[in-house]
Amino acid sequence: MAASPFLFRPARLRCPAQHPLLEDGDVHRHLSLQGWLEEEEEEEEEGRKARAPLPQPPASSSSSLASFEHHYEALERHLCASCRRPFPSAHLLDLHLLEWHDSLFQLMAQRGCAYRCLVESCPGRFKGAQERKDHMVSVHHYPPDFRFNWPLECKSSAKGKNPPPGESSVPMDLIVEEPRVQVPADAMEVDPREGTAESALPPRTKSASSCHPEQPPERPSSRYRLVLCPSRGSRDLLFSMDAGLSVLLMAASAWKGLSPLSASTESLFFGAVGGRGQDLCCVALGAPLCQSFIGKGVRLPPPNGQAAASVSSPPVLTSTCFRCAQASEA
Amino acid sequence: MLSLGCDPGSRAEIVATSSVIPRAREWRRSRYRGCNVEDLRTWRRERESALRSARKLQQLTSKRLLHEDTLTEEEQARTDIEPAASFSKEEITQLLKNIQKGGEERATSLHLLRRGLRVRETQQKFIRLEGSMRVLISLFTSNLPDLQMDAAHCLHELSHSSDPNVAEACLPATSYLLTYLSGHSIPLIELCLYTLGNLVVEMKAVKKQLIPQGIIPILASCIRSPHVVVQEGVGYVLSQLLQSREAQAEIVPLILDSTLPQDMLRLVCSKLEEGIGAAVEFAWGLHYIICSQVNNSLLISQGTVPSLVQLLVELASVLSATSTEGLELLLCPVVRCVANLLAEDGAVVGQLVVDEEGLLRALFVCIQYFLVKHPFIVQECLWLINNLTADSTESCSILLNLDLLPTLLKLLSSHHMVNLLILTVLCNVAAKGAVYCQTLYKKAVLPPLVSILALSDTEVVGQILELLHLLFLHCPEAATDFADQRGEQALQQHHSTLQLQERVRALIQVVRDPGSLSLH
Repeated sequence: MAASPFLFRPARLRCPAQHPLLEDGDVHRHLSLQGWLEEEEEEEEEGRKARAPLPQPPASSSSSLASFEHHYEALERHLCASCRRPFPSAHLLDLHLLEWHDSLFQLMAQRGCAYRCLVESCPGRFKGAQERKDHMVSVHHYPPDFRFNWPLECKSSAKGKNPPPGESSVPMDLIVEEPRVQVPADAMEVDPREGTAESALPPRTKSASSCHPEQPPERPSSRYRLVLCPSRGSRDLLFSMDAGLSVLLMAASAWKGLSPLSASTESLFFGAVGGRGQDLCCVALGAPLCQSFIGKGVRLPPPNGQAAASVSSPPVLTSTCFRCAQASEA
Repeated sequence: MLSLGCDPGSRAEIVATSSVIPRAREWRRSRYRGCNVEDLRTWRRERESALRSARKLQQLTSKRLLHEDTLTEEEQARTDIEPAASFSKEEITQLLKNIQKGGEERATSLHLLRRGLRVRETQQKFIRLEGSMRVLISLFTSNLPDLQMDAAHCLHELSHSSDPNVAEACLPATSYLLTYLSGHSIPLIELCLYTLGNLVVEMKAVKKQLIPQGIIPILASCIRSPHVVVQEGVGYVLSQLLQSREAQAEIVPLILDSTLPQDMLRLVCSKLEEGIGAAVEFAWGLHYIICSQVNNSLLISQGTVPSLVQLLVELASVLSATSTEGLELLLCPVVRCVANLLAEDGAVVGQLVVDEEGLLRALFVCIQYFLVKHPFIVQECLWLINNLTADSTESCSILLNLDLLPTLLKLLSSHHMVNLLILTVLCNVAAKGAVYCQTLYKKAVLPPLVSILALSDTEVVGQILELLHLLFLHCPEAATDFADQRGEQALQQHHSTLQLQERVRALIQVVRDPGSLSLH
């Protein structure tokens, strides 16, 4: 008996991506993606309205709202309260707070791999910022000069004029206008007031970095005055010392074990020293507050919301070394 | 879903009050404004032809341009009617210098650059200038919000370029684009998403940079944003990633390993009164995942079929009551997803589709609604109907009992694919046995078959012959009736066609002697 020539059997049909049955739908989808999707009657309608602009949403309200939202999110959302630096994401802000403002971090880093990868989904941990950076470049193909990777240890020169050796140089720097006084200059940006490229980080030695996990901002002048003043009522400045910020920070830490409690580009306040009601602070030379030490009453930044201390009569500046001051206090 | 509850009353109320299903963004090309209708139609036909050719070469890619909302009416109209001129190299150099200098000129120069970069020639000159991209990326990553957004728009324009060299010049920015997706500025996130969506068309960049930079986990986080524009942007990136030829090996496994498929399904089926843009993007993404067949069992286990079937039923229920502009862009991939999942080995229609009647009704509503406007929906719905009726006697019964047969028969026309699918569905029904054949016969299936036998489409005629064989096998009176309707003459037209000869001869024999056909 001859086999039947009728071979039909019901079967579910699978259509892979390139199946001819899907062609028309795919073309329609791509016409839509490219903005060509039109109904015939709508084409005629548009033809009738050829010269009339389409109604637009009120540009002022939607665009200004979006602009405001962007301003807020860009500058306020992930803002480090200590150094006033904005970050693009919560993850980068968290890492910054940990590595720059957590006094225990350097201890942890010395004991093991405490540096986390900047890619949030990557579980990598590293002993140091350089190792992390190498990982970012080799594994995640990040640019070596990734803007949001500010290492605590800066390999730049004392003035911070040049990027660390081995990194790609920035042939064109941008002048950035600071929206607020406290916003620090960025690693790749030029301060319009100084006209020279500088790193945002003060020059630090290895020993300095081990003592000072915090990284307060530095004014372009890079000279500060460390002052010890009475907290309340007394007239005299007990001592002062001018140097670069990193040296003064090292001095404050070595002398009294203090790290800055609050920081701005103008001053750093260390807090009460000993039991004699004395405040220690660093003030940038040239800043109004510093000027006040020379001829006018001094007003120190209040620690933790307390009322500002003030001295009614002009203080007398001394140039006593902090070691001598320690000896004299003893 | 369109209505939160299943109460028909509440659904009717929602339908009555919301007559338009919105989209988060309008993607209509703005440049046609000011052009006549004939030109539009010509351009569109040219685009269609180019897309079909690209598809045959498996190079079907497109990019999206996020139109800015900040232009005034006058600026928008001027932009659309007057094509922008290309900047000279000197002009671009001067703009860059102004940007670097800072001050008041920076913002103005950047804005001019942004407008200039809409032109391909300007884009090409710009990327060739030494340091130009570095300046742009520096601005993009600065903490000056206005400049940052303008720079982001510049990058976006470049990403949209059809010149691959121009788009490639944006690749150094990918780490930053991804970083900003973890931020909170919705306008910036949206722009970064669409820029990335344009760049991922190049799979080389995806493999080399974007995957190592963590794009999949970042998208898995972004998709949970409550903002519709962000959702739609994520959907766009995913659909672009998944559409690539290499997606099956490079992308789909990573996505299936993440929480993305469940979130994608949720957003396909989410409240459409807020806009279908995101649902459309994720539906296409799901379609590409399912086509790849990497792990459809996983998707089935996650309840994909019942969710999408319910969505189809709800969409069909509001078709006639709402403005359905763009709805076919959602229906199409959803129908494909269900059809392909039902075609998986081991998939049982009765287990996966609880309400076969509801689904069949919905498909016929869609077929009738889109028959004129978007006929491609018709053939894709018929494909799904084939997959329902192939194995399921219940679906075949529903088809007959709900009197959907006349609609099917009316669809028989000159369109090859539609005819083939309708005839296949009818064969599925007839193959279920004598009762089904007799019902088909009584519902007057024969006359339209006789008429379309006159077509010269071999494949379609072959399917008619298969159907006639099944009908005559179980319903000998049909053979007699067929003869009365001059069916034999219609068959004779094809007796010399090689692929049809044997079956034509066999059927003619049955028509002449209906009792000669042996029954199994």
